[in-house]
Amino acid sequence: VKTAPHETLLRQLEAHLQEELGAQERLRSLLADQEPALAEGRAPDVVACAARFEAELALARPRTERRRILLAALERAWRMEPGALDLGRIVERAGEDGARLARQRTELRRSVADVQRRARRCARAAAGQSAVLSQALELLVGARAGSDADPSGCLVDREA
Amino acid sequence: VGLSTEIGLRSLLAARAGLETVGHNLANVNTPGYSRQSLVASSAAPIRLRGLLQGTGVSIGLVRRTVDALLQARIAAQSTSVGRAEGKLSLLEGLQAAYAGPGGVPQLLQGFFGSLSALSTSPGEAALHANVVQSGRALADQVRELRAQSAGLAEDALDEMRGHVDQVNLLAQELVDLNRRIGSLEHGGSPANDQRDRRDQALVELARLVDVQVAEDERGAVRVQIGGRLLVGSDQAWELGLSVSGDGKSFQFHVGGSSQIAALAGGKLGGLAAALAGGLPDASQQLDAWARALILEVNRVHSTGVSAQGPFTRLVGSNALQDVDGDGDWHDVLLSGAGLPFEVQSGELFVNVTELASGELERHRISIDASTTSVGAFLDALNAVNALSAHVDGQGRLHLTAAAGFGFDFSSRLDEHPDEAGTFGGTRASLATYAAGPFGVASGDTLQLNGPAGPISVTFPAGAFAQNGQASAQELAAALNADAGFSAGGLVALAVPSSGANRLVIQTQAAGVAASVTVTGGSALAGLGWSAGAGAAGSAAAVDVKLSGSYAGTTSARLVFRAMEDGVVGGAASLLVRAFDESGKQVGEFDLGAGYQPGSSVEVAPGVKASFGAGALSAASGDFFQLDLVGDSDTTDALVALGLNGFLAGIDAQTIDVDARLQAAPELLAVGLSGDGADAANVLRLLQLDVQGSDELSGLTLGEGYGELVGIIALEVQSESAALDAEQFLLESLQGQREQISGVNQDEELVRMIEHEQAFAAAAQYLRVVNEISGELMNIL
Repeated sequence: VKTAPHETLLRQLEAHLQEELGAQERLRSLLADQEPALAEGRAPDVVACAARFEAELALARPRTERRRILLAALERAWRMEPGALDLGRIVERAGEDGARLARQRTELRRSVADVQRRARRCARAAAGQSAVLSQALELLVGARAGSDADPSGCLVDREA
Repeated sequence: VGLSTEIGLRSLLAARAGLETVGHNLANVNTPGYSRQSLVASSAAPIRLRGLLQGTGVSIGLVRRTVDALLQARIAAQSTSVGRAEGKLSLLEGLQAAYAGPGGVPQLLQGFFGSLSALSTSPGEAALHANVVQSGRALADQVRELRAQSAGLAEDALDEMRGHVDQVNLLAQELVDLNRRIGSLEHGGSPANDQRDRRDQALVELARLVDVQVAEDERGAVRVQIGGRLLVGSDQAWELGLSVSGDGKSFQFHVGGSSQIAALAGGKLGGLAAALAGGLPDASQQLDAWARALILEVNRVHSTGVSAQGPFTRLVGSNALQDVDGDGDWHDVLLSGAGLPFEVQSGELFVNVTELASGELERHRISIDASTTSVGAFLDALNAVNALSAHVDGQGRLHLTAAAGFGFDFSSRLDEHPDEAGTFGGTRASLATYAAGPFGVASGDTLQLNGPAGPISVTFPAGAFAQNGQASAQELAAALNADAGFSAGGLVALAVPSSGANRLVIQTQAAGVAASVTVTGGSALAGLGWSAGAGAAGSAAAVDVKLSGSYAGTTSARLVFRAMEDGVVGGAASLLVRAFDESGKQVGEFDLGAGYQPGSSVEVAPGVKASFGAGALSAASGDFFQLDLVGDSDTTDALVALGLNGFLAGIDAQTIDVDARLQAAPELLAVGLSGDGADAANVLRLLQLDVQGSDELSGLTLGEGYGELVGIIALEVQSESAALDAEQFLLESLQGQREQISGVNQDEELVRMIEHEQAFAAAAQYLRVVNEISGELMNIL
């Protein structure tokens, strides 16, 4: 039985989405680890998470490229303008063949939205921490360079 | 959005708290006792949102100080050891500086001997006498000054201790304040890190001053005990007090006004207390002992010398005798137990009495038994000396006075004319018994003689002898001289000392070759050891024994020289003279016959030379003379103990000084042994003290004795210094460990901040990429 070209492409797209779901799950897990490390200022944990991010993002780029190729192939199969397809239209055009894709799309929307929400929170925390530290460093390093304070020091009562 | 903002705010607050902590650490990077602090943060409690548990960011837990309590306790204990060594060393170093400083006792001692050396070459020079007295004063002044400095050091140490006690009380009060603040803060749930750091630091400062036992109670308050007494409670301090005795020689510590003594062994207070109780008194005692040895040795020599002014006519002791039972009777007070500052020992004291006009010397030996001789017996013995009287005044001082025309001294000088009686070849005819008494003569016995005026017969009268058959030479001489015929016959009888007793000598009153005496018979002949016909003839020239030099022996000796042959000195073929000691043992022999040049010197004893004139000697006439050789004229130390003719007054380092009599009249310095202004024999004896070991200093010389004293102090300083180095090293090592654990490293803190900043910046960058990728994905969903 000879399969129509768009049907093959739809199966490939299902596999790709399944892979993307897995990647989003890993990002969620990463962000879940990153968030407290950032909030608590645990720099070593933040650095460790960054390394995992780097590996994950390295995988994301070829995945995005494969998705673009798949969508372009479907557009050619369905004689559509380039960039006209999104996952909603693909599910509509696929009809009964798109049932699985529809489930995957819903699941992926929820997952990506969660990742985006977490990433925004983390980004805000990281930027805030970084800004405060930059400011403090500027103050401290500047003050130390031109300091003529008594080197013997004095006990500073932080409660006071 | 609200939750997101709150999470971001919490995060920023956490970062700010962390930064404050880092800033606090950096501000206290050089603060002693500060412990590095760190922020303890944790995840904030999640909330349920749209059916999901949603994280709410970070919450700040507490600011914790990094400290090792055990290490802190070890630092406090080690500070106690360091403090103790510091306290002890500070006092010992002061002592060493005083005792071994330049221009001190060793130099002045050498200066004193140097002045004696100069005087020895010109003993008659008055300026040099004054110089010796002056250098002696400088030495004595320095010794007294040194002793006073020791006392001053003790006073300084007590002042320092008072200062430390004040510090202890201030720290104790501060600890109580800190206990209260820590309790208050921690009870309210706030950390009291800085207060705890300060309290730890105060405890280390306290431990440096005194050994402490510290315990922390369940409320976080420390209780501090010192010397077994509570100094600091949870909310009260008790005052440490130092009470010093009126004389400043003893002290005690009390806590809280209690009468019970707090025994402080460690810290600076413990170290100073140990040095005050041990090292300082030891050094003072040793200096006292050394000064005492100096006084004793110098006075032993000086008291037996004679000044250029000649023998004394009057002398008063400077040390007082005590009539211990107060009954006014000196016969029941032992001389050795009469409270004299120096010990009187068993031995002999020689007293010389000189007839000032003729220079004739009479030497007396007084034996003293330390266990039996009373002050009264000693006075009796002195009063028994011809032309000398002795008494003790109301202040207990001994007065010695010579009869008019006489002088006395205690020197060991030679009697330059030992044959005053002319029994050894004098110009008068002289017949001596061959042995010393007692003699087997009794009342009623007779003696017939041929004298210059013809035959003489003497009958010894009843009562002439205390014990018939045991007649002494003195009794026989007295009986013969009392006989009118004997004296009228041109004869005289003498009792002449010989080996501890006396021989009877019968001499003609006239001298010259015509003078002769012969015993011809009588019942007393046998008892006297003579045989009929024994006799002697006078001579135109006397043998005239003259002595020179000084006796080099250390022990006193009495020698009897006897002519063993008859003949003229320098003329007879052989004219042997033999020397016998007191036991009768021959100890020497020399020939005054043809080989001897009359007037030349013959060594008759170590250091003693004798010359003999060209007179005639006769063994048959019993020619002899006695020579007293005195090694040490006062083996009893009675002169030093009584303070008679001493150079130094005083009894120890506190009282030593040059005798006031010499300060007023330096010419009274006992430079010689004879009273001759050119005689420097006693100065030479004094000079010997520079190199001669002293029994009082275990055989060391005076210089060595002082050197040992300084050496002991130096050894203690060295030992304490080494101990301090070791303790200090250990303390620094512990402090180094503390720095690693609790210290703040400014660079590390900054590096830590930079790392944090970079990590957060990198995270922000990745998250931006995540957002971009997620956004692109969301666009196609």
